[in-house]
Amino acid sequence: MAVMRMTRMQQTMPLVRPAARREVVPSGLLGMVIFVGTEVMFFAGLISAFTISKAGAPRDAWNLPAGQVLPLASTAVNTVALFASGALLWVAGRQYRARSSAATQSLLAAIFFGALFVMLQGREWVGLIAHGVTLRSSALGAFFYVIVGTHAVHAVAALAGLGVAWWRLRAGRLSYGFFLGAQTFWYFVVLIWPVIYARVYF
Amino acid sequence: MRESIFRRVCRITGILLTAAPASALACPVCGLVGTSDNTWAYQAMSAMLTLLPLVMIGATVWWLARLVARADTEHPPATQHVVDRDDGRLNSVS
Repeated sequence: MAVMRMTRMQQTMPLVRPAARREVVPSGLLGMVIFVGTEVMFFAGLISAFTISKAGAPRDAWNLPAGQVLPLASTAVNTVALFASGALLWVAGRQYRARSSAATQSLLAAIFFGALFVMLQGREWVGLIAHGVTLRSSALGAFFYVIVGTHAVHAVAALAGLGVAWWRLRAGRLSYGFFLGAQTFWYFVVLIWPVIYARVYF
Repeated sequence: MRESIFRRVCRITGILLTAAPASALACPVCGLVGTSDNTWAYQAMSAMLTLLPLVMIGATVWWLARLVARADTEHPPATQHVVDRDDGRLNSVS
């Protein structure tokens, strides 16, 4: 009897088929956007601590040891290399969407300029360390190495992502979501740098 | 016996949590407030750290809503079919 009642219920109940799921944004891109949001807050915390410490320090105490100054001019050149890398990645993205084979070269050029930025920064660090500017030499030195070093770690990680994207693109296996994710992370590295440069170096 | 160990663990954890901030100098930056000329910086950075996540979350929600609206315009969502088995006809709702 119960079975018959259930069967009758099933016959009279309307069946609603769920609508097909649609992807309005690639999952890789959305995940990267959320991750970049957390990274922005991480750098905001570092810059906040730097700003408050600098404002609270005595005028003469906020210096590097032995009259050293942070290399403004050479870092400006590095910044140009980083911006060139970002612009080339933007071009590579347009070419990738247009299914142009030139995207491989543009992406490789973007990686080259990004790696050039990291290497030039490393060369500056070697010079500063040789002049006695270390993590423990002064508060400015500590903040400099922590903030700029953290940015360099992000740049290296983003370059590794771009390298994987380039490798997959060359092999014809690059997914749109992965490319957008790698592109977003590199744009974050490029766009956060002027803030760090303006705040820490000046 | 088990309850006494649990209480002991709670007590030790509580003591450690109370003592840690003092010995670790968890917030040396905040300690400067009022003793130097950095009050403006402290307030400005507090405002930035408060507003920045709100702006980012708002921008992400707005961006997603715009993408969904555009997708709805370009490709309307698939029609859901309601099948009434009593009369055997197919009724469609969007």
